[in-house]
Amino acid sequence: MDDEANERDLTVEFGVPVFFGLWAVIGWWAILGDSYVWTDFGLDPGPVLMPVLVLSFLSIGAVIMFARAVLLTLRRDGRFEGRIFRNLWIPAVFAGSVLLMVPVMYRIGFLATALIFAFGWMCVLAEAWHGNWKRRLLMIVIASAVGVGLLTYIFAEVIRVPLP
Amino acid sequence: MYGDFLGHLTGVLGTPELIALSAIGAILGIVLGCLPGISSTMSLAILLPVTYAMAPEAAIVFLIGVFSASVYGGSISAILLNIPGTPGAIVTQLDGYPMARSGRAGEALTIALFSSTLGGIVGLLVLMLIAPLIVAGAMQFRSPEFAAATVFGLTMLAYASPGSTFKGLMAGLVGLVCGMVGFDTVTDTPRFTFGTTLLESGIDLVPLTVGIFGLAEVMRTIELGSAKTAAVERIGRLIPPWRSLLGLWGSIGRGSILGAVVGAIPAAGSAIAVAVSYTQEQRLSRHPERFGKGAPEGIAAPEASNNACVGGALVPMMTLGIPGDSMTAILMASLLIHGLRPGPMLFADRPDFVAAVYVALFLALIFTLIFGLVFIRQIVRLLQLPPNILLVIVTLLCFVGAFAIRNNVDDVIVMVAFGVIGFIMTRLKIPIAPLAFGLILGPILEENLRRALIVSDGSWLVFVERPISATLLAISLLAVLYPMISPSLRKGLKVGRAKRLNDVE
Repeated sequence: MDDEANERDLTVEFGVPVFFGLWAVIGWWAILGDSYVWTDFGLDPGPVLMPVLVLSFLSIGAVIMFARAVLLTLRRDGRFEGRIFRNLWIPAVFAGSVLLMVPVMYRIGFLATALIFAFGWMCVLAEAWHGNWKRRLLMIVIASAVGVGLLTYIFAEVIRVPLP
Repeated sequence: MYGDFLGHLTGVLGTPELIALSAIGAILGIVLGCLPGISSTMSLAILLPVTYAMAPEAAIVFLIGVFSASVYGGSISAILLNIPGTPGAIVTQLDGYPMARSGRAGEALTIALFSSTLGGIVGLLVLMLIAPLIVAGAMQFRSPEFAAATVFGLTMLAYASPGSTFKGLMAGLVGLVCGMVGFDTVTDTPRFTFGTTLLESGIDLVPLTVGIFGLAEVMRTIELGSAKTAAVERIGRLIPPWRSLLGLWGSIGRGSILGAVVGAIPAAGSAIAVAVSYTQEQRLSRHPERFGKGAPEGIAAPEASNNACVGGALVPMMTLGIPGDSMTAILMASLLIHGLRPGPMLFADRPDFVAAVYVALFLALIFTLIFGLVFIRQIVRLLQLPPNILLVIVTLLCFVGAFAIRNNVDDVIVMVAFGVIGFIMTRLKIPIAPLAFGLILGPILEENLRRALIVSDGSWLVFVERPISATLLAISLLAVLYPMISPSLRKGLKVGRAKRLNDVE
């Protein structure tokens, strides 16, 4: 086997068809469980044509990719390294905190929520900001206040978005 | 068209708001483009929500300002940090960084700036010259041709995406599914809604693009950690000797023409144009050994090519409604948000708007040149900021931007969901851009596919009986099949060659 094959991560090879397969399964579930989309609309092929076409291609593609992954595993063409599952926690917590901003924003307002979010994450991610901790903290306070203030001004005052 | 352009230019010059928007777009584009981790696509995606409240003309003036200037911005980090800010600046660093390390950073930046401006103007001229010709041809298009052109666009974009074409196509199909969520426009039938109000109004373009190009990229950068970069801090004198600048006209000319032509090919992209341009300059040079060690031609030609691609990439988007790359896909999304569908009918119905696009690109180039010369020392200082800090602000911009579409938190949830999906796709090495293309092109494909079938009384032969449609579909099929059969072809050729060699021996 060549070097490329030796470096192949079979977790990715299986992960890709599973990802597309999930979309196909959810799509078929929605379309097959909906009798109205199958109604005869006369000359118009109806709202079911595109979903059936797209989901068929998606399903066939996912099956082909899965079959390829099985073949590669049987041929021992690669290893299950699980690289895709490494270092997931920081991005996951980050995405979760963005989502958490939604309910918090309605309780304490956008400005306070955004300030807490910006200050908190800047503290976590500011290892690259050189200097002693007092200077670093001051810079973070200034950066979060200026950033959030400017954003709120542009969206709330200039564009007139009714931020909570 | 040149008359329209000049007439509109005079009109815009008399409108301070449009000039101010173009200037703000250009400065934001340079700043965002030069920051590592923030690409042109991401800059456009996060600033797209700012344009909701604007008139279509104002929105396009602002966004084209960001687009064009971010292309030059990408070369600043390539020259000073050895990190290309945009894919198109990937070869600029080969000679830009050595030149900066030898104390000529200012000269390298100015060469890049002048080349970008001249390249951009050539790209604009090509856009103004080619677009009406393509539109004249596209006026003959009917539903089968439009449907085939959409399939062609999707396939070519998947083909050009990094990684496997097959994965790109599959991502495009997922985008098509996302585009079908909500009420069917013809029959008013809800699809893929699962009975939830969250999905009834469909998946809006903005939360999806902001999620996959903005939040997903932030998550990826945070995961990788901030790169320790050694920025060249002293940029030295800005203006190189005029004689050496004038000596670059050949490189700039060749790079510009090549960039504009390659950019006009759907999905070809600036990365291909700059690579070809650089190789060509090295081949034509009397001192090819200087390339990679700080040759000014190695900056001038690719930079001219890179910015000429902007005008070129607008050709398929404006004339056929097929975005040439992910940046033009976002520009197209902004037009769709404002109720304008790019394509031949835009030229017939709104020639004033088409002229506004040309003027926007021209103004963006001029403002980039001015700001690039006047504020470059201040802009360079921004590179000292830790990128992670800026990413937190970018995340807040994604959040507010998604909320601002309909003042609805549902869109924020959709944005976060697509941020996570985009992150997963990156982990699985699936190109994310085709997903956005699928969402944009899906409704156009479905409308034309159904209309063609209604007119042809349900006969699918309508797509192969018409020559343009058949050709486009044949090319699409070839693009899908080629990556699958090419390894076997190569293997066959190798075996054949080895056999011939054995026979000779």
